[in-house]
Amino acid sequence: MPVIEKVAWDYAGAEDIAYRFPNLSLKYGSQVIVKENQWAVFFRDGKAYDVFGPGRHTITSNNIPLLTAALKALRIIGDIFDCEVVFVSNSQFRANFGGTAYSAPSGDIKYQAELGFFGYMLYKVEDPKLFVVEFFGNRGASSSRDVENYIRGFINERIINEFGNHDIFTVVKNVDATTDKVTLKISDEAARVGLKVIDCVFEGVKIPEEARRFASGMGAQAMMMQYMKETATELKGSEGGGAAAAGLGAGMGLTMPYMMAQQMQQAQAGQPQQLIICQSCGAKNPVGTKFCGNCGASLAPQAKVVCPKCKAENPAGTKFCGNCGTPLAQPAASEITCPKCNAKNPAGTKFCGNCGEKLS
Amino acid sequence: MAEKETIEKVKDKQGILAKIQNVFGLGYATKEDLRELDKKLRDLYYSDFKTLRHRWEELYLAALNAGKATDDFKKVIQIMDRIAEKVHHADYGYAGLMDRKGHIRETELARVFNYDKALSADVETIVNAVNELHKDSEAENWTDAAAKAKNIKSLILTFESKWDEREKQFRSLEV
Repeated sequence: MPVIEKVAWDYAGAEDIAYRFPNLSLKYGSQVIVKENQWAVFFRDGKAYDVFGPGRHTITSNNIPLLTAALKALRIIGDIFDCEVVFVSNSQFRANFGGTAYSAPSGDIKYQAELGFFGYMLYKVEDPKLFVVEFFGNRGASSSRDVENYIRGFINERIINEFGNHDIFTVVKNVDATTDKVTLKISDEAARVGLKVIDCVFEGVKIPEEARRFASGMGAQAMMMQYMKETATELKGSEGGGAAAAGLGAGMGLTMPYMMAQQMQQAQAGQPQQLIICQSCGAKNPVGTKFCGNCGASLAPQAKVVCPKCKAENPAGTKFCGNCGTPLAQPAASEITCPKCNAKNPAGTKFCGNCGEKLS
Repeated sequence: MAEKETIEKVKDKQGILAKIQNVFGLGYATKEDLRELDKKLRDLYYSDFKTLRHRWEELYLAALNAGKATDDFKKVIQIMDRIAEKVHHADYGYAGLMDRKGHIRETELARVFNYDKALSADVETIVNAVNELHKDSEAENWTDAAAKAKNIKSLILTFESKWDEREKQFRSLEV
């Protein structure tokens, strides 16, 4: 085996997280060059002796006292010794992840949306010795892809768990907090193999169309109907179903209109109702009623009198303008009295609003 | 002078081989010792920041779970990472490289080392502030958490601006 004068990891690729120089024969005085973004871990006889940081290291007893001591203890007093050097990159790497999760149950039917997610995580090696011993050494791994495959499971598990805590109304709002939680939660998992998680980023969360409709409230009722229909079908088809299941299905069918009506009422109750205030007694009446439910006065819009001075509109019958105080002239024949029933009708009406008599 | 004291202390601890190297290498061994000493000090700071980050991770997760996390909590982690790497990969102060004019001698290296050493007070202040907030988080006391996180952020940023001044210590502007 040739004696190596200089060891350096010069051709590190973008995805290479570590590289093993197998069975090197170094001599005292050999140079190990470690770049600023690298570490070099020295192995001999399967033991990790030393970690070299950036710089030019000369293999002497000053640099690797443990190794020298071991060699001396074994009485190997030669200038040459065999060892393994594993270079580890200190740069940031990216691990992609993606999968499917379910949101927390929400709404009356406890709807759980199937959510797709994808993104990436940034990480780097924090403890090179631990990384080499725990991860690299046993797995024969060498690229960031291997680390990615290892980490992906942890990330997906944490995301699925985190999404399960939010219903679809809040899941998108909490994406930032979710990624932070995932980052922090998997940091301990990653630290087990000497890695540090720098950040976790969601590039997208896919929410199915039906979940969007459910979240917006528009399709909630339609989904409720669909859900009940499906449940009834499933029960019919299930074992031991028969008449009981059919009965249940029928029961559900009967209760459906009631439930829908109840939902509609609830929806209406939630909305502010529009009212008309009676000009005569001040009672509140729903929009659309023609006469006051309290005093029977007509709820038809009153005639207006325009102020000749300021042009403000005032209700018919007022003597002074509510805006400028100018006296308002009353219409000469504002009302017509029915000759038959003596009921008063607004000027211009052709038939009596009370008895239908033709008004002259 | 403080630099002289530092150089003397380093020289006192040198062995015979280093002394010979100093004679033939015009003080090379002392310069190398000063650089290595400074590197060791920076490694200690880096280690402190690593520990702080792990502590902050726990704290941040607790704040998220309690719904008390503010933007400053994430900012602190990001700034902490940035500064830790700045400290870890800071200039060694090698002599006369590239377009630097003249040599970086023992005095400059000792000045940089003293400057870095003085920053230990700032590191300690940050460590204490984080520890205090960590204790609060363990006691579920989130009353002043937002204000404390903001304060920690500003402490770290102050440290960073001081660290950025470090480069000037290699070649003082005093004439």
